[in-house]
Amino acid sequence: MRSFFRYLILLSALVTISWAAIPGWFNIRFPRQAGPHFNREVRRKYITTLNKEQPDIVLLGDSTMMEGVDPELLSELTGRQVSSFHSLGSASAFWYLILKNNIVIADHHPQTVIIVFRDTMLTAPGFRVYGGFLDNLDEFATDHETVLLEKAYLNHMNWAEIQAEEHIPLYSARENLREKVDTWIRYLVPAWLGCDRQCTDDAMFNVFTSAELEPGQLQSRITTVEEYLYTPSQLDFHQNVDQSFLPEIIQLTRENNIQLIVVRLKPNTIRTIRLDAPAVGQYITDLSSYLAENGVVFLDYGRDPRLRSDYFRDSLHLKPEGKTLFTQILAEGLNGVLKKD
Amino acid sequence: MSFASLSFIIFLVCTFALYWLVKKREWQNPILLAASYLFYGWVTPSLAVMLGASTMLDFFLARGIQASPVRTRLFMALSLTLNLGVLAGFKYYNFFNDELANFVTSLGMNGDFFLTRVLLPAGLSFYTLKKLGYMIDVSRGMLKPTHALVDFALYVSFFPQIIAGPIERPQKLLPQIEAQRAWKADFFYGAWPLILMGFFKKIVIADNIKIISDQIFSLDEPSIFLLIMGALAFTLQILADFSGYTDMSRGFAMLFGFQTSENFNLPYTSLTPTDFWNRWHITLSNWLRDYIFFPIGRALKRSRLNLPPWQVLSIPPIATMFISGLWHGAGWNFVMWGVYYGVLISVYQLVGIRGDWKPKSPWAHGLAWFVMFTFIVIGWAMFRAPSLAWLGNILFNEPFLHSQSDLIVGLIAFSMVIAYSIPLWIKLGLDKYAKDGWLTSAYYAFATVLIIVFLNATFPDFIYNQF
Repeated sequence: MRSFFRYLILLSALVTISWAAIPGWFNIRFPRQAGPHFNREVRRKYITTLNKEQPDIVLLGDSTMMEGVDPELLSELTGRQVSSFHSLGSASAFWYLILKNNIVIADHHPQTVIIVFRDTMLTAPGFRVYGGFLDNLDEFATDHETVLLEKAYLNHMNWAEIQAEEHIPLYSARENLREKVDTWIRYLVPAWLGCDRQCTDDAMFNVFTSAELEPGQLQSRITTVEEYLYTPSQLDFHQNVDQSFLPEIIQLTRENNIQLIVVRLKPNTIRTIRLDAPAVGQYITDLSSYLAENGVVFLDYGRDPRLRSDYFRDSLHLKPEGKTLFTQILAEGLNGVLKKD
Repeated sequence: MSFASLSFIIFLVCTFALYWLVKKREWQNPILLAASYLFYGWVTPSLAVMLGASTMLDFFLARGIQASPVRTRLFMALSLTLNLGVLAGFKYYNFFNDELANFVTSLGMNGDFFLTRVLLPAGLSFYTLKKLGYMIDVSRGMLKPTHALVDFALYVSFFPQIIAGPIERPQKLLPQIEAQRAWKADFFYGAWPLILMGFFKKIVIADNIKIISDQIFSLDEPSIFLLIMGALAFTLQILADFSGYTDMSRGFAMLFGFQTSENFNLPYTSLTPTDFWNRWHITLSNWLRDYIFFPIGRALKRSRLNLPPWQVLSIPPIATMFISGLWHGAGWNFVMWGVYYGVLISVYQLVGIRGDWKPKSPWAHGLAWFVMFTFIVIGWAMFRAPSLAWLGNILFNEPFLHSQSDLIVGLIAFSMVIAYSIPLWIKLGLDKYAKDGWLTSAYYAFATVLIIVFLNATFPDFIYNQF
């Protein structure tokens, strides 16, 4: 009993110290908004591309689109200028930001925006928004992204977490504190050997970022991340649609007279057949009705038999020959639905 | 339901309040049983149904053994077939399904159905061993089967233990379930340090060291130096992860008035392989010793094969550890890891070094520790490797260092291992020299602060949940 009360006293002392020290140390004011804090600058990468290339069609998607659709071939087959705005590991939050903060404010508006997605990605606003993905989002977010904050972060936090982020410095500044610890551990020993921060970061890049991953481990990582899209709560379309970026994406394209087409890309069936396949089917039926009600063209290649398993190099990504085939299939589908000049 | 989720905290508080409010054992056990099934079936309710069906079956088979001893073999065979069949089916199906699908396709049928990945129900390996232990003890006449289905079902499904043990023996847990329990403040004062240390080991140590260990073991062709550093990182990760889980499990059990078994006793201070297995995952080691090692040893001694003594000495540990490897997972690396320990135990015993061996000279002690620790790290490298081919390729084809970058990254990994193991060393010292003093309280207060700092949105599953 005595040791427990001693513990409580010491813990209270540490928390009090943190209360006093952290706001000054990291220049944070409390109470603060829960969720990540984005900086004001917005990268204009895609605005520049739009104004320079003046595309008729913009493709938005992640690595599966990058390795699944050849923009030059698509341009040739559709007779339209196509630009591909892919970002590895991106998802609906990122596509929403690109649309809102780059595409619609560029001088040149494309006639059509095509979003290439898999299964439940369009209604999973919390998918791929933390870690390195948060840095990607920060590049294209302003410091007043109310919708992004609410849909990608706050809606997924419980009441206690939000209160802790707003009022408890130790919890709220934990990312900063962790970075301090990580920096200390990461750079100390290499520094003794004369390897400064740049040298250490280069070494980490050489060993991890630019190296090949073991195929089984890569597959296992992909599966682990993708499983989120197939949880029962994600497969309930009606429960998620209003909390997702889809209504905003539709509204933004409508207000700017841009045709929106969404394209469902097939994952490799051989490796991703799921016991809950009927739930995926129901989800797609509901998505399809919703898009039709909102005048959005939906091209569903999620079960296209032409995309055989041997066209894939893993559970998600197509091989070059698969990319050519899918681009041809997509061009065929687009030719009937693209807005006329 | 994860131990570190808000839903678990709410679940725990409600169960705790209700459990101690009713006071009577007749009500406490059903409440705890219902809570355990809710906990287990929270994400996938069908798992709770499967658990219930298999529990009922063993309950009635055990009663059958008591009622009709002449049919003991039949009932035991039934129990073994069903328990091991279900375990093997779930555990090894994914290992063979590609071949099965190819075979079906070669017959001109659609084999896609067989490619569906089957997820191993969490805890299946653990509660299967619990039930088998109970059945074997009943069949041997070492245990009287309980007549209360609720008590037996609670023994099998007790929520602090169902996901990853400890694999509690019926002789220890069942009498506690059957006894009257009244609230004592000591339960709380015993539980909170365990729960706190469990969270600390998991959130602060295991989940952080996991980052570098995962990255190294994800590389297609790391150098030998990186492999060594990755294996060292995993050595720390698996200890912190699994012993953290066990601490939480014991702490939660204590809140409900149960004393459960320790699973770890400074395993990395072992001097021999037998010593290591007496200190690592103790409840599994004891289970394997009593139900596999001893019976094989007895059978060999009684057999008419007239095997030479070295074989009589070597076969039981190798066979037992082979089964232990299979139990840990469907993969040749697990099998190899098990056999590796079996061979190590045999070799140590054949040269006359038994589990309780203690060299007199401190130098010999240090050397013995270093050799054994090296064996442990090599074992974990096998265990964590994506495949044996991957490990073989590195050992036989890769250089010690690819480049200067390997050296830098390896040193970062090593400094992480040192940094994240320091808290464990300090705790060891405090337990030895300053238990229950101000320093220990300060340690717990710092640990709490670090838990808050390292608390993440994601809480990766405990490694042993997957076995």
